[in-house]
Order: sequence, then structure tokens, then C-alpha cells
Amino acid sequence: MEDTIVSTKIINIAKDFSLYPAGRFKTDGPYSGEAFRDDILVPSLQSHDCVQVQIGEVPGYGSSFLEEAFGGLVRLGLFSKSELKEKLKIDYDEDSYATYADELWDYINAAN
Amino acid sequence: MKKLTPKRYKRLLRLQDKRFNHRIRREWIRAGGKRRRQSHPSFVLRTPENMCLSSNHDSVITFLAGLRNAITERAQQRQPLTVDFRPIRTLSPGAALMLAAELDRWTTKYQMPLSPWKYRQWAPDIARLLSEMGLFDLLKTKAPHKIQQSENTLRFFKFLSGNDSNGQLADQLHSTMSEVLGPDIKKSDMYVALSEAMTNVVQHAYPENYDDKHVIPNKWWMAGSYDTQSCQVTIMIYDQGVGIPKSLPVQGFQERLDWITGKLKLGSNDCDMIKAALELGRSRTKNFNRGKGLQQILQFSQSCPSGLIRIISGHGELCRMSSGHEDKILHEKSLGGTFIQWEFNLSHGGYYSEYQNYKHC
Repeated sequence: MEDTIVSTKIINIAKDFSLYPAGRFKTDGPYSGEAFRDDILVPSLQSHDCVQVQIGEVPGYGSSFLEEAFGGLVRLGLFSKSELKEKLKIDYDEDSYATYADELWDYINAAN
Repeated sequence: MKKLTPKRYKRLLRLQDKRFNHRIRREWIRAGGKRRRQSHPSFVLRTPENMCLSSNHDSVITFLAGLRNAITERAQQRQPLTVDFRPIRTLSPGAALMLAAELDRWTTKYQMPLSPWKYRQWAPDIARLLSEMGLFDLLKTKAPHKIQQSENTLRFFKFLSGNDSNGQLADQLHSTMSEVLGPDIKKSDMYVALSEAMTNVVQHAYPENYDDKHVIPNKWWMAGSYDTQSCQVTIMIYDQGVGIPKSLPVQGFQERLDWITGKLKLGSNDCDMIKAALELGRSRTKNFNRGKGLQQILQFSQSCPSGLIRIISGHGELCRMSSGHEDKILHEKSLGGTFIQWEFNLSHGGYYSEYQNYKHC
């Protein structure tokens, strides 16, 4: 029986992207949802079987950032919802980040 | 002949020098040199006595519009501008932020120096508040080292400004105010509200066809204040863009806007446009992915039982309390841009004074 090797990438938004994510488009600011999606998230999803995104340690996430970073994956036709349900995992240490995790999955599920 | 004493001799020498210098100066001026600066400036703009947006909205807006025009005209002519702050007796946080924004715009856009005029004659309260707001840093001059202590319990936190979605500055304002915010105001709620407000400014406040010689594109200013007696905390953000009533119909939300205005039976005045903008994020029609920023801005005021949000944009002003009660005012004078203010009354609990002593209100 062959062992299946699953490649996993862990992304910590605070350490690998910015402690202060804000804005939707790259024109809004340097740490926007679009920048996170295009520069970090999409390349990781394309090259790994599983991507764990750690969303803790930042002060908060605006709807603009979350929708563009995560909802944009489906909305722009980069990935399907089923693919993301298989590949994308959201991690956090503190319970206060659960609302952000729920919110970003809402954007993924609502995206067309 | 009278004998010339040493004292008389010296006096005659001094008089001769003075006449000589005066003649040289007259010759120099005739040849096109500059006159000495007059002690009284030729153009002085006087502030109103009551610089409070709530109680004197139209006068404050008229003054700020006049200041804006004067700054542009005088800067183009490379002429100095003098603003007389001596009449001010009442200064609200919102008016102070808008004043700082105008002066910041002067130094940024035209890079002409400013200096405080007769600041020793300013009312002590006002001198202290303007100093706390950052006026003297803006003027690149030292605050008077003896600003008198006063009984006024209002304290300002220095303004911050930027022209993009800058989460770090939102966090910085929270850190600056953390001693007075206490546990009632969550850092995450404040961060999200401010970062979404900045994003709205960058995306919508200054459209490409916005032709206004006064503005700096995408610019916003934010600040906070705290009243040690009433325990009222205020957090504000202001921009000099087109305003919500003008930007809303062109954001691509026309279909949703028509649906909301029809459903809520809203008119087309500026107050109703602000209300429609607040409702946009809750509507689940097309373009669900956009328009939620104002909802998060509103939710910040609702995070605390005593919270209130006040939005002034164009001619409209809308105040909504966390209880849901709403007040709308249609002003005669239009604000040049959008002003958002969150107010929280923390008197039901405790607060941390600026001296880090925990006190009960």
C-alpha cells in the first residue's frame, strides 16, 4: 500500500504578511486583502495540498480584507468552494478570532 | 562756545549713527528693497467664539470654508496668512480636528511655514487643547512652556493622518488612548472600524473626477478626546472628499440603493443618503461582497451600551445610538467631506485617568 504524501503549508498572517492587515485592493494600502491573496495565499494553495492559515495575533480584520482575500478566491474563479473546503484550514489560538473565521467562510460560501 | 562734555559727545555720536542708518535704509527702500515687516499683519482671519459643531455648526463650517479658500489664495500669491485664535472660547473635538486638518493641508500642500500669532493671548483652555491636538507640532514650533492649567476637563489626543488604509496608525491611536478606553472599548472593534473607515476614504471619498483645488487625494485625519468629568470618550475620523451623498450613487450600488430607499421610504436628501449607506451592507442583493464597511463602522458604536455614532457628510447629519434611536439634521451649510465620530460614555464603570490612577465616575 502506498503512503500518500500530503504537502502542508502553514501561513501566519501576522508573521508572514503583516501585523496590521487593512484594505481591500493593493491601491488601498500595502497590506490589503488582494496583496495577501495574490502574493501569499494563491501561490501556497497552488503548490500545496493543504494550507493552514493562522489568523491570530493581529488587532482585527475588516470585512474588506477578508472578503477580498478569501471570497476573492472563488469570486475570481481561482478555486472552487469544494476545493477550498478540502485544502484550506483556518487556525487561531484565541476564541475571539472565531468570528473572523466564520466570516471568511461566509464570504467563500456566498461568492459566485 | 559751549564746552562739549563726554556725555554730550557720545549722545551726538549716537544721533549721527541713527540718522545715517535711517538715510541708508531710505535709499535702500527707494532702490527696491523690502520694508520692515509690519507688526500688524495685513490679512487676518478671525475664528468664531464658539467652535463647536453641535451648537454652532453653520458658523464653524463657514469659517473652515473661508480658511480653506484663504489658504489657497494666499499660498498661490506666496503671501502670509494670519489666523486669530484669540476669540475662541469653546472648542469641540470635531472642530479642533477639522482645524488641524486645514493647517496640516497648508503645510503639506503648499509647504509654507506657519507660526502661532499672539498665542499668549489665547484663552488658556484653548491653548492647552490646541497643543494637545498637535497644533504646535504642526507649526513646527515649541508649545508655550507655561500653558496655564485650567478647570476644563476635556483632553485631546494628538491627531494622526494618512492617505491609505494604514492599520498601524489605527492601532497607534488605540494605544495612545488605551488608558482611558479601559475594558469597555475592545481593541479589535476599534481597529476594524478605523481601518474600514480609512478604506472607504481611499476607495470612495476622492473619485477621479473630483476636481477640487483644495484637497490632497485620499487624505484622512483621525483623533480622540476624553472628558475626565463626564467620562465621555470620542474617536473621530475626517476626510475632505466628495461626501457620502455624492459618492454613493456612483459606487455601483445603484440597484441596491434604489431597493433600500424604496423599502425604507427614504428621500434623496443628504440625511437619507447617509442612512441608506448604513443600510447597504445589510442588504443581501447583488454585489453582496461589497458595501459592508459602513456596517462595521456602525457596529463599533453598538459594541458598548452607551455608544453613539455621528456621521456628518454634505448637508446631512445622522446620529444613531446603540439603542437604535436616531436623529437626523439637515444643515444649511455643507461640510466639505465626511466626518465620523464615535462617542462612548463610560460613566457606568471606571476609567483610567491620564495619571494612571483608576477612578470611578
